[in-house]
Amino acid sequence: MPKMGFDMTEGTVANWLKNIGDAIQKGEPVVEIETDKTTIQVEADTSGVLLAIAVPAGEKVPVNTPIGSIGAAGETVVSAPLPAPPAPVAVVTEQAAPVIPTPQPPIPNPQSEVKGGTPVTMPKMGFDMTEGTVGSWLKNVGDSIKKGEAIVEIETDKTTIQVESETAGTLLQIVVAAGEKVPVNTVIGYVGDANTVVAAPAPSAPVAAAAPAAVIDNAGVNATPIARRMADELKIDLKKVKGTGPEGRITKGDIEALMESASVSAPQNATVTSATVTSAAVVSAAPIVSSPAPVNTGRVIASPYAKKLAAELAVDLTRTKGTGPEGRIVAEDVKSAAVAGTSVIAKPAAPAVVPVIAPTPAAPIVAPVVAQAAQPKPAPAAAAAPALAGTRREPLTKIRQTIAARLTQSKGTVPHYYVANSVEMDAALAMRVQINESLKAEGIKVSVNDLVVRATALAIKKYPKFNATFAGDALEYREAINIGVAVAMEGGLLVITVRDVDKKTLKQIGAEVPVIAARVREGKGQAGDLGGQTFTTSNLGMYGTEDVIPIINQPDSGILGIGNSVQTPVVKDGQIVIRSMMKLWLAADHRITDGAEGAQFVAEIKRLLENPWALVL
Amino acid sequence: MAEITYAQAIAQALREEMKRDPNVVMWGEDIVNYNKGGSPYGVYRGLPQEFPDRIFDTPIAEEGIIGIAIGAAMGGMRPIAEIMTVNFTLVAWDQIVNHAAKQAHMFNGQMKVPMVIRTPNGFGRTGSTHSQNFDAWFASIPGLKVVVPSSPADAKGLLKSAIRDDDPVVYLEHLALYHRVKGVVPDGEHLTPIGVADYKRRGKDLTIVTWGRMAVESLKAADTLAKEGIELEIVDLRTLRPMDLSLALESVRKTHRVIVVEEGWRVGGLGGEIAASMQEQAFNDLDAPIARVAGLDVPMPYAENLERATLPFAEDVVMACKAMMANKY
Repeated sequence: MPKMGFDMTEGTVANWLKNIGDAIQKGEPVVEIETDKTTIQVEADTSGVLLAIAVPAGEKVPVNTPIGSIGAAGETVVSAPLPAPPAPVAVVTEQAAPVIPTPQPPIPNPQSEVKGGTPVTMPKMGFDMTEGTVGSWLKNVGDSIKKGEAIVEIETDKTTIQVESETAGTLLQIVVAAGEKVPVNTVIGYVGDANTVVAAPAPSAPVAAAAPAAVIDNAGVNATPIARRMADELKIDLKKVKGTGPEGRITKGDIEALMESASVSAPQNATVTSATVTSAAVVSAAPIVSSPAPVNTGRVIASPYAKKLAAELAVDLTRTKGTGPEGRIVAEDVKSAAVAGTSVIAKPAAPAVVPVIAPTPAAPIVAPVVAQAAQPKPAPAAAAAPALAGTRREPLTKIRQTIAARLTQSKGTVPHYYVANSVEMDAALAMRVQINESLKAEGIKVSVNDLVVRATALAIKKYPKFNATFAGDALEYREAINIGVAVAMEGGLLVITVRDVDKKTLKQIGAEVPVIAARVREGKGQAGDLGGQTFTTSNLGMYGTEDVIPIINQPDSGILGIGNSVQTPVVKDGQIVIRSMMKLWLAADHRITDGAEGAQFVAEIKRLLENPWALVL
Repeated sequence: MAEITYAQAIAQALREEMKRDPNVVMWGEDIVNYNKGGSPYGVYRGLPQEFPDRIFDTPIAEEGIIGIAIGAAMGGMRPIAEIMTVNFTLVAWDQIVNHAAKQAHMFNGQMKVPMVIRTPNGFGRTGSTHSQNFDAWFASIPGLKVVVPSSPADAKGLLKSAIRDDDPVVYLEHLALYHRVKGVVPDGEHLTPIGVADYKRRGKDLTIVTWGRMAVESLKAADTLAKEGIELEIVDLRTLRPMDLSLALESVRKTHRVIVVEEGWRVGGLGGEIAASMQEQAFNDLDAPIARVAGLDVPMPYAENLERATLPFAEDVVMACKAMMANKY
């Protein structure tokens, strides 16, 4: 999906001009893309055959989502975890936004190359996945491999999946060993003919430049030092900036031009940062909020590698103490800070941050970044100590690590307040039975949770503060009402995202949620399945739980804990009657809203659920 | 595969190449008749007797030694000009820089100068005019190739490659390595490519970029530091021109710390050049400034204790590495 304008974040595939199997000449229109402004034809930047259509006509996807693949006739596209499609249809437009993403070829590994073998690359398993860890190799070098056979396990922060070989042959080489983390598309091994020769060491290629752009990590981008510093300060993602210097180098002038165009489109008194934020596409993180005072004020003195590492580990250098000469922050300090969790930034744009917690917002959503100095440490000393006799020690999985870090941070830094209310669910339950009866033929079921999700979205429309995030010196209101739904998975918790809930029918929601949840459970999540939510719901009613008191999934303004509907004696008009009562607990960020607002918000959800036809009107 | 000295490896390469190619000839000062022959340092005993019509003694006239070699090379021979110490190349600098290095360029490749200048470079207990290290000087001249073997295997492999190369190659040996360093050397056809660096030791904590004698000293330092839990990765450049920094860059992306170790003077040394190139290409991988261990910026004293204080040895590398690991750089 091309980015055809500065502020374009998603586009709709209007019409495929070619069918699968059609031959395509370079420069020939392949697909029509519709935005809210215009419709354009996208031309193939390579000749070949249309191998696959990933996004059918009528569907809207974020920019940069692969929508189809062009390759040689006979080539196959493996659909499962989509390991680097042959040539995602890329685009040229005359509007030439500052941001034209190019598809990434496999990143050659500096150490060695196998000539003739088929590279196995780190697959991109989700919209916001930028890197992955090789969990374990299921085959040894020299083992023969069938096409479609699982050869390696890849671990992301969200899941572990098995990658299948695209070709039959022999595992010729393991380039990236188990336990190592590399950017997506990096060559991790080679499969090929057993007689293939392993070539001599090749000169190393810079790896950083290939990292995709979900996180602001400006290391490795071709930019002048001053441009890089400005970008870091302004939280501009340089990977999305077009450079006008030699070999496309981004210069100070490019950044200034960008800031100028951003401030033109921004509200009058916006600061530099919020101006950039307003112009969304360039920005993926907001300024850091200072709860406690930063350790470092002014320019942060850190080694280049420490800075790079800090970006990777989401460590806030303004809060990190340096132990190098003249207080310089060195890599060791960043690692310690990351372990201690003392200066961890909530990384809204990182795939690293998932569970109960939103990962990457789709482009326009600017999540707040909350940092803190003092917070309960996850007992690092205990973690480091050897296990006692009679104790089994099991290292944390990535998903557990992320949950631990993110929730410790949320609970430690976000002042939560709680408001509960009981909802009489009889009318809603009755309506649900009727709806499901009518949807039976279509195989769609609307759950109680779907009703609550819909009611929440409508209540947010009335109380938009619950669609805001805390950004230090401002509240940032989001346009889209995307609701996160916490889903229990093997190994941990994930929040899937139901988008634009206020604009969707119960039927749509009922159809969508199980599909997204299944996809994500299988590690086949698609763009938009995770992250970008504005508010989250957590339902444990199915276990008979009545009170669910949750922890906020940053950067949300709040989270709704949903209990079971329990038949309860209720006094009504002086009579004791039996009603199905459901408890709702709102945990909300007190920096954004106050208790009275929270109480009204929950009361509105209650009102909608008790008058459930409001949910379908 | 036999374990032989650095000098024996040079002799092996010379003998094999002279047998292989009748155009390989050699001349220099006191290389046939002085002492027992085979260079003033006894590097290739017996060789002049094996090839009496192809190895010659010359007068003390380095400009002539180089000049004749250039002419012979242009005429189709593969001459090896031996200069007794690198210090004496100074009088032949015009021949080397303005003639040997420039012919191919000035005549658009029609004229090639396939010659080797063999000379011991570096200190030798011989005072300020005889104990200098000019590797950075040679490495700065376009048109030359400059190799500096640190091990017997590289000494053999690089010399054979140098003799077969069509450009003038400056082959810098070291007195301190000739008879003291031993190593396994492949028999027969063993060619070390010019312009390709080599890992002499793998480690995870700190990258040493070095060559020649300082590679040997760095290996000693690595043994010492390993006992303290610091693992050095040693990149031996082997060729100073054209310089291959790919391994050094690969290594720094792992260790994030670099020390360049050289015997020559720090000012204008190759350490500065290497540090500059590496920070250009791997800036974001550096966790500390690139440090240099080098010779002191003074003329070489004659007194042994002062000479030792002037030159870098393994203990200097150890100190620098410890300082860097303690974040003192």
